[in-house]
Formats: sequence, C-alpha cells, structure tokens
Amino acid sequence: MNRTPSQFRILASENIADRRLRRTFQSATGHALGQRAQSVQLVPEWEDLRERAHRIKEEAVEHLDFYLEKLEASVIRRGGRVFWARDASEASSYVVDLCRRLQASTVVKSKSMAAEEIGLADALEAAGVQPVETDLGEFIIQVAGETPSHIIAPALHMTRQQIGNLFHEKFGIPYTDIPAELCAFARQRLRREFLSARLGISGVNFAAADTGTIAIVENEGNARLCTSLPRVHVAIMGLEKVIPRFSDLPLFLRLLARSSTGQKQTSYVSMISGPRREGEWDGPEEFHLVLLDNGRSDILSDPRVRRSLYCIRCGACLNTCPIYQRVGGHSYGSVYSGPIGSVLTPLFQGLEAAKDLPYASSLCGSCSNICPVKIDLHHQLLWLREKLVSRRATPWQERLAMSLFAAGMKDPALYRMGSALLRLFLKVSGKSNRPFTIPGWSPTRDFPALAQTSFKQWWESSRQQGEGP
Amino acid sequence: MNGSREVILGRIRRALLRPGTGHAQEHGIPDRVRSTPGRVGATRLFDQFQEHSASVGGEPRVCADIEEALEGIQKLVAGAGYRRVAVSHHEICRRHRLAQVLSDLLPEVSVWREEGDADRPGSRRRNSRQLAQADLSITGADFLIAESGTVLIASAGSSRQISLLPTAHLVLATPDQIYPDLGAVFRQLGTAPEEGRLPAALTMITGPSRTADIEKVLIKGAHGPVRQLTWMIGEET
Ligand code: SF4
Repeated sequence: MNRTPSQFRILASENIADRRLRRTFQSATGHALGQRAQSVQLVPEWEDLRERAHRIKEEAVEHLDFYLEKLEASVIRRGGRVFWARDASEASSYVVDLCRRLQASTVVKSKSMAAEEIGLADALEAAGVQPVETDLGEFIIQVAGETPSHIIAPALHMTRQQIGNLFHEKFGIPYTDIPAELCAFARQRLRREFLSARLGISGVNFAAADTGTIAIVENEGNARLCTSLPRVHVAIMGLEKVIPRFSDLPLFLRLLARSSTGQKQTSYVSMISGPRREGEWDGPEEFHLVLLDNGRSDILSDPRVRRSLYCIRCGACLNTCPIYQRVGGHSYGSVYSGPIGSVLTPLFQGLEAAKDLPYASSLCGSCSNICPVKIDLHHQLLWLREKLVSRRATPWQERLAMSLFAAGMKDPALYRMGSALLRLFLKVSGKSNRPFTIPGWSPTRDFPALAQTSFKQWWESSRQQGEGP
Repeated sequence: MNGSREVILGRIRRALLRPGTGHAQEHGIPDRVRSTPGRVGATRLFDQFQEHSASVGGEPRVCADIEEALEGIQKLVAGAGYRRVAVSHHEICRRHRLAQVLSDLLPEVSVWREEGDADRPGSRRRNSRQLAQADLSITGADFLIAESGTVLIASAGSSRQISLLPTAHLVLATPDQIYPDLGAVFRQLGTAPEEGRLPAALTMITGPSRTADIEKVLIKGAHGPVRQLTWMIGEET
C-alpha cells in the first residue's frame, strides 16, 4: 500500500471514520501513556535527566562532524568497518553488495527506522534477496504487505483476528486468534531463519563515539539473535544517533525505556563494540556500520529545526498527541508519524510534498512536554508553517483572509469599520447565529456567532451605568 | 571508507557554519543529576533486585550456598521436564565444576558445557548447534543492577547465544556483583573504557523475552528465553 504524506487529509478522514481503528489507537496510546507516567513518577530527578540529555544531544549535534569522525575511528580500531551513505540508494546498495559477496539469499533483520526510511527491504527484494523481518510486529506487517503504524508497535492497527486469518491464509496453519499461539508460531518459524542466515541487519539506538559501541534496545530478543548468530552484522544508523561518550549511555537508556513503554529497562540491551574478539564463543566475524545522511545534513543547516535531530525515537510524542490518537500512524503517509513525523517528513521529503503535516497539530505542546530530550516540537511545527506561508504554499483564500485580518489589526479605525459592517450585514441577512460556511472548516465545527455588541461598546456602556471597574 | 565520506562531512561543516576540521572539541557536561546514594548492603540491594526482577516476570531467589542451588536446579529440571542443559564457561560454573556435578546428579538429562577452543570455527559451530537444542542454560553474571532487576553479561565470559537460545536461562550470581544502578556499573567499567577492557558484546537482561505486538497483550518468550531466573548464592558476610 503506497501512502504519501500529501494524502494526509484524505487518509486522516478515512481513519477517523473507522471507529474500530480509532478505538484501537486511543486505548493503546492511553495505555502506553499510563505506563510511562507510572514509571516516570518513580524518578524524582526526571526533569534533570531530560535537561541533561538535551544538552548532551546538543553537544553531539552541534559538533556532529567531530563526533562522527571519532566514532568512525573507534569502530575501525575495534576491527569494524564504516560506510558513509549520502542517500537511500547508496546505503541500500552497500547492503546488497554485502549479500552478493556472502551469497546470501535470505537475511534476517531486526527493527530499524533507518532501514525503513530508505526502503531497504524493497531494495533487497529487487536484488533477489529475501529480507526476513524478525520483530513480531514487523513480521506480521511484512506478511500482510503493510507498513508500520507506530514507531514502537508497528502492527498496532491490526486485531488478533486479522493476524490469525493472515497466518492461516499465508502459512496454512489452523486458525487461532490467541496471541500467545500466534507468537509461538512466529518464534518457531523465525528460529530456522536465524540459524541459517549469513547476514544480520540491525538498527542502532545510540552509538558512543569514544568506544565505537552501538546500543540496541529491544524486548523480544530478535535483535540479539540478528547480531549474534549470522557471520556478518551490518548496523544502519542515521548520522544523528551518535552520542559523545560511552558513559552517556545509562542516562539515555533510562530515558528511552521509561518514555517508550514505561519499563524501567527493556528486556534486552545489547552494547556491541566491533566484531567477535579472539577467545569469544560467538558473534559476527565482520561488523559493518552504515552512517546514513539522507537529508540529515540539510536539516542541520537550519538552526531552528536542528533540534529535531535530537530525537531518540521513543514514540512518547505520538502517544500523547491528540491528533495521532485519532488519525493513527498511517495517515501521515510516511515512516515517521505523530508530532516528530510532522516535523521530520516535511524536512526529509520537502515542505511541498508534506504541506499538511505541520498543521496536523493543535499546538497544545503536549509533545514538547513529554519529549525525553526536550525537543520543542510544537515550535518546530510553527516554524514549518511559517516557511510554508512565506513560500505562498497556503491556499489563496487563507492568504486573503490573513492579509485582511492583518490590515484590520494594524488600524483601529479600519477594525471598527470592518466589525460594524460585518454586524450590519449579519443583521440584515438574518444569519447572526451561523454566520458563515467555510469549506474545510464548517462541516466539522461551528463558526462562532458574533457578539451583539463589540467589546468597546460594551465597555463604554457598562462604565456609564457604573457597573464596570 | 568511501567517497561520500568527504561529501557528508563537508555538508555538515557547511551546515554548522564551520570552515574546516579541528574546530570542534569535546566538552564535558556538568553532572547536574543527583548522585546515587552510597553503596548499601548487598542484601538490601538484592531485595530491591528481586522486587524489580519479579515485577517483569523474572524469577529471582536467594540460595544459602551452592548445595542449595544444586538442589534447586534438580527440582527445576524435574519440574519442567527439561532434557538438555547447557552450562557456560563462566568462572562461577567452572569453580563449582557445575557440568560435572550436574551430570552425576541428573543421569537422565544430557548436560553439556561450553568448552574447547573458541577460536576454532568448528567448535563454535558445534556450540551453536548444541545451544539451539538446550532447554535450560546456566551462566554466571558480570554485574547485577538493583534498580531495574537487570543482569549484565559480557561476551568474554560466556557466549551470547547461551543466554538467548534455550527455553530457560538461569543466572548464578554472587553478592559482590550487585550495584545500585546502571550508572554505578558504568563507573565500574570505567568512564573511558580503554582498549581491551570492553568485550565485543555487553548484554543487559531484564526478565524474560517478551512482546506486546499483538493488541498490546503481553506474551513471554517472544524470541529469547520464556523463563529468566537469577539466583544469588551466599548471603553477604
Ligand atoms: S521527538 Fe521526543 S518524544 Fe517524540 S519520539 Fe523523538 S524523542 Fe520521543
């Protein structure tokens, strides 16, 4: 299913009309928020941690060239290899070439937003390599031919019955809708793949520049399998995943686990420094790290949106967003959804291609408040709106209305005259209750009725009657 | 290294309005975060560990000595009907000659240990094959973290798979291994772990493998062990 961010309005209204889907998203996000709140409450220094994480990310992003070179040197020192990829196709072809060299016909893959972003699975398939998604949620949506609807829970939009039917049809197993049985089936099926695959692909949550260590956070164990069993491990990371020091990891691990699922710690964290060392019982013989730019250096060039690169992909801003809760992840038409998606997608794909996304926000600021690295998401959305307006990308009616409004607000006489005329017009036409129908606005909400008198008139008359202050 | 390296670094430097290399430098971040309380007794810490581990489905307990642990293992194996047990190369397993003792105690169970030359690909392959079939694995730990009920294992001591492939994973720990939080463990690892100190893989394990990917229903044993047990051997003296 090919969705694009330009379809946001259509997709969102479709998804809002789907009551089951809306209930699913509202209860799932509500559940995640509750878990998070509980576990955050237990950390009295939470605000300090956020501030500190923000500053460490700032340090890393403001000196990105320095830390990336340092990371590269550390990985090489540990016997790993580093590949710099300008864009999706460079990154994908590097992985495809690796498969060719290893003569690998299937590869096992754990969750990676960067791989999703560059469409790695499609590129591999096109090259005749079967990429096997091993995260349960990713496995389900891969079998269904779907795309993820949440950063943390990719198959959030599907019911157990849908999944039961899917497995029944695709794998010919007897129908069951018991989650544990569905999971057991996937476990068994994927075990075989793990034991035979020559190449494992993973994402990266954090990469420490001083030691060349990458940290991968998960609950299922599939990332551990991907990085332990195959002969070669390739990890793909966006440039911004670098953090200065190994010793910064505890802070970020605490923030990430609690923000995303409310766990004190996820079931597994793998901290990997290069390939297997001498005397060790297992681990890959080759370790490759792909550093993916794909538009990140452009984002860097605008200091106002640069902070969006601090994101640690915890998903908390999705859960708390009143828009996301209602429209769901697929409405955004891109890999990244929710508030952070509304910022990143226009930056990655171009403002014009995603011009509704900066408006997919009530500007309530809940996302900024919850963000563990303190990204001022709603300000970033405002700046993107400003960019759109200055590029005249908004509809002409809106521009006309806004310029009239601006003229009126700057000139008291004009303002008085305008509002008097408007009142007169409404009185004559007898429409004071429901003054206007504005396409795109009034079908879903009422235009507020005008007050009988203006504030100024009211103020003066009440003063005369001695009621006022 | 490849051609895009210079292009990307150039773009970054232009974006940051920095003309060339060498302008950036490292600066420390002031540690504003409340420091953790001093080292409290290992027993108290293990109480905390037990609470957190149990809350995520782990199975922690205290054994007075190795004899009690061995008895526990016998019960565990009999109770669950495990047929194959894998014992790691970790120091604590070797010290108690666990593989040997267990094969004597459990004649009907096949006990197998990670041994031989890890640098020979043949041994490693055999190792993997054995582990893929094990029902229970027994390893040591390198660190325990009280705050979250986490066990930390370095790849230097035992394989990565032994704590991952079997249905159940039992960790035998000692009181000196427990620390209040992850920060304290990292300080122990050294703030700038010099070359050689850091193993290729450090794995943090908190409870059994799990997933909530189907309708947010919590399921234990997604890809890794269904049961994760941590036994502390010997009270603090
Ligand atoms: S923007 Fe902040 S809250 Fe949203 S996913 Fe990223 S880190 Fe989490």
